Amino acid sequence: MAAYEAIADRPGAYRVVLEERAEGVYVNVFADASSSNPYIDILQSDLAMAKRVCRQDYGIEEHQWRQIPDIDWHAPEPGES
Amino acid sequence: MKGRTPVPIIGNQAVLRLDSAGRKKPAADAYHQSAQAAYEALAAAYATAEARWMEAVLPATQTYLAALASALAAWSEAAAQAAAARDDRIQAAERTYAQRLQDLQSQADEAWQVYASALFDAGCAPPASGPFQFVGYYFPRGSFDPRTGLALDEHGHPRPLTWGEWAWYVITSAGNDPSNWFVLPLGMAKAPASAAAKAASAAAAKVASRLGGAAVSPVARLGKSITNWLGPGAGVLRSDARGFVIQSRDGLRQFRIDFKGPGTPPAHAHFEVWDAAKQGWVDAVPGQHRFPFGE
Repeated sequence: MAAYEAIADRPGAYRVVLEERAEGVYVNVFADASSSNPYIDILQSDLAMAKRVCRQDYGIEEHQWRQIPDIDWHAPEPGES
Repeated sequence: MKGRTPVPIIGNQAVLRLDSAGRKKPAADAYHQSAQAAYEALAAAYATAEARWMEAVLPATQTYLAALASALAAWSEAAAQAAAARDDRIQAAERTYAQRLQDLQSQADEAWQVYASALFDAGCAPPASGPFQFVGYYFPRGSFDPRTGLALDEHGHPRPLTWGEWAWYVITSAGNDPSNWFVLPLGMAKAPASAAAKAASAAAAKVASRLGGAAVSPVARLGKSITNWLGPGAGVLRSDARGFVIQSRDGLRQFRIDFKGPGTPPAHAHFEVWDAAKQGWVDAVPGQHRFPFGE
């Protein structure tokens, strides 16, 4: 599973992290630079949909996304599928 | 022609023969005599048969007509009795219905009193809508958006549930057509204040329990509400110790529970709906992203 990050730098949406999981892609939104946890984590169906929604909602263009090490906010417990 | 065997000549009405002198003699006379005799015999036989038939049939016909009249009379009497019995049953059902309606209205009024008191105690003025009518909180089909589950105003625009609608939903959610109702958390979207919401929620739950809702646990009620919201045939996309995701069969609604992860504790739920314009998922209740458990 991959994760992608982009800086939107908008009020209420400083950073967005896309988290791919088996059930879809979580769009994790961080309110500001100091936020350690996303306050929004809507589940989109796939990566293309997640990026399209982020472009509409936060103005994030395709080139702004960069892949980051996988995060486990919505990952199943180790050992679970 | 002499010495030759007379040959019958076939005519329209008679057979012509030759007599001993070789003169032609029409057989019409003999034929007519025979035909007349045969006809008279036939007529006599027919008259006899008709008389015998009438003699045999007439009594049977009379018997049949008498039986028919008797049956018709019995049927009419039975029909009248059945109609009377039916009217009695209808009137009894109507009386039961009216009594039940009156009981429910009384319970609704009582619920309103508790609910309004809870709001007052929480520092909020009760809504001006006043006590709600029992039959007034069935949402006519078409008065809500099936995609979001939100009620619609007179212009067809989404609106939050009123407190009365919400409270009534809490009380009656187990026993009504789910297509007419909304999921409980949707009605909490525009709560006037969190303190009031908690107080009213507790009060409504207490009232629901007093009104017979105790047999249905809050968890079961919530589960039923979620099932209603998703509709039949929903598919589970994920179910493990950290999360649960289920999506409606038509792909327009999804419900999630995060047991662990961002925003936990407490565990919380998400109600998300498909936004056709955006071509993506959005919160079912704008501004209400998480519905925490544990209260």
